[in-house]
Amino acid sequence: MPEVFEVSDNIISPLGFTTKENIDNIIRGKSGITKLVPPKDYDNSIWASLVDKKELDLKFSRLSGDGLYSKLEKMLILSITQAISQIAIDYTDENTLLILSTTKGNIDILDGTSELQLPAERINLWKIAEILQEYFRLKNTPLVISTACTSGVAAIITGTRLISENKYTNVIIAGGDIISDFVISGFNSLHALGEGACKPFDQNRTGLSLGEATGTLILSSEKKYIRSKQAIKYLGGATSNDANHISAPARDGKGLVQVINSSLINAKKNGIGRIDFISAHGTATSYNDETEAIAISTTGLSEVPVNSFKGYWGHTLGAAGVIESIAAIECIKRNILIPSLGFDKLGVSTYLNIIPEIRYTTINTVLKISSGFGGFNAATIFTGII
Amino acid sequence: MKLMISDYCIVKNNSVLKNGLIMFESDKEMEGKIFFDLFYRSQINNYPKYYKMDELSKLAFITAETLLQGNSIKDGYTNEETAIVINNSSSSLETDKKYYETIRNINEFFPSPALFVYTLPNIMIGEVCIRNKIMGESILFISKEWDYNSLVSNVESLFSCAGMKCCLAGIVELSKEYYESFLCLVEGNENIHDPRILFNEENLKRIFENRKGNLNGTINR
Repeated sequence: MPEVFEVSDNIISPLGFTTKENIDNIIRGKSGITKLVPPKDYDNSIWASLVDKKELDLKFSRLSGDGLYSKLEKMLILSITQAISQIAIDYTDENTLLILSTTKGNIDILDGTSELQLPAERINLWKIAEILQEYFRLKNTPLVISTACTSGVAAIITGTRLISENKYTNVIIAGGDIISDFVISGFNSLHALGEGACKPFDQNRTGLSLGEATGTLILSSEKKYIRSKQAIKYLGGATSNDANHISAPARDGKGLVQVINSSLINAKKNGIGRIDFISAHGTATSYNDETEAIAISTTGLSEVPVNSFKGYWGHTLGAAGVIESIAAIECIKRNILIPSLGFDKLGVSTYLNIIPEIRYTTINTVLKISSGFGGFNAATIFTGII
Repeated sequence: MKLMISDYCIVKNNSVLKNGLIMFESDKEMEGKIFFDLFYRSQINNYPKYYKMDELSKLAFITAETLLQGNSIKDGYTNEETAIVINNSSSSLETDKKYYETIRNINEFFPSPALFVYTLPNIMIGEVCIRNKIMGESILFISKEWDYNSLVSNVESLFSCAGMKCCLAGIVELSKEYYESFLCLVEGNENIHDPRILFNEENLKRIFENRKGNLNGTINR
């Protein structure tokens, strides 16, 4: 069975247009989350992390092509372009598959947040994939995965399995979502949005902050594409369903425990028995963080340093699993533990080793976990090899 | 291991078919959502949560109920080794539009949280999982045309790489113009001699699109 390596990546968010810019800003403690002005006629104020349209348009204007693209399409095209430009890869042939991870796609066409006059067809998630296929002249029709907040991690797991089974040599995973009136009103109606920037795992957490981002992660069985001294290998993962409630996690975290355990078993088969860092989903809602804490404790990982990247980027929905996995991989490459921004005092019922400040230490293996509406869970493990 | 289709259910044109046999049908002119409720009341009627679901979830629910009726997957497999893979095209767009109607008019701004939850297409999988205690791998993928190739290759991966032993796999689609669903119960078996029940692209297409033969080789209407 071929091994799967991470060979290139990119993140586009308010914190930068490359992985490096994003991670450098995160290490400096910067957050993209700001108070939105003017807030719509809500009783509460809305905080979110939004990509500046002017800056995006400027960067996008430097690319070739003259089609009319939505904000999300521009962010995806820019992200994929940057990721593929870093390696000499022929992505247009039948050996490469693009997997798109998104929850709401161009929903801004429906609610009028987008001022562009785009054809109504563009609201379909498959249409975004078709636009990307045309733009990059891809031979294979992209696969679109939409499993709520677990979409990104599910896309990574699906892509790596397809490589492991020799169905493709390379898989480009692109994840993205933008924030529109539709999404804000929905999360607001569920009382899921926090007052101020989100505070994952903190005792004063009040809910999540939404964010927009796109991320691209290229996986391959070809070692020749590995760029840095530190190669990253994929050690397997799993998805599951709680079969409990459509909008709340199972209180005992059973589905999450299941995917963590099967990821740990996979890692052990590869001779890896130790996890050095957990990148949690950490949305800062009361239920999510509590369930994650229980699952981390149940799987015997309470002492493992853990963070949530949501304090920097907000909850970026279909991009979250992709950009947070890239950030976790970056922690291996840089041998760094990154604090959970917004965290002060532990606010979950079981002990977690939340990272309080930047610490440089050897990081070999990371676990990325995520959960979402519909009872979906996903977990995956990456390790550094020399 | 060879993968086989042990049962399948199709809901289309206001008729419900299981393994090629018509289980229930109604006036073709009837609106889909009225048909779903009619079928639910006359054939299932034991799960009140059905009424709070959006139409896409209702369609997934009645298809899975018919498929699994009298075929307790629980006897043969654990919850954790039972998976579900669904292909859809229009995502949750019909519910998205309905939700948007509730927030569109700024003066009558009244978002419906109960409706918002259904503006994610994977919620239909959540509903089927809750009802049937399916806790294994869960995947929803979206394509313009039915992507039997990805459906088969994803399900094969779950059996070979992810330890799954049983899978509900197929299509659940609902748009303004039409609806259709097709779910198969996929299981592994070393000794299949009948090529018509192999879980492959050709058979999925044959069963769903042509419907010329069923598992018993008889001809459907």
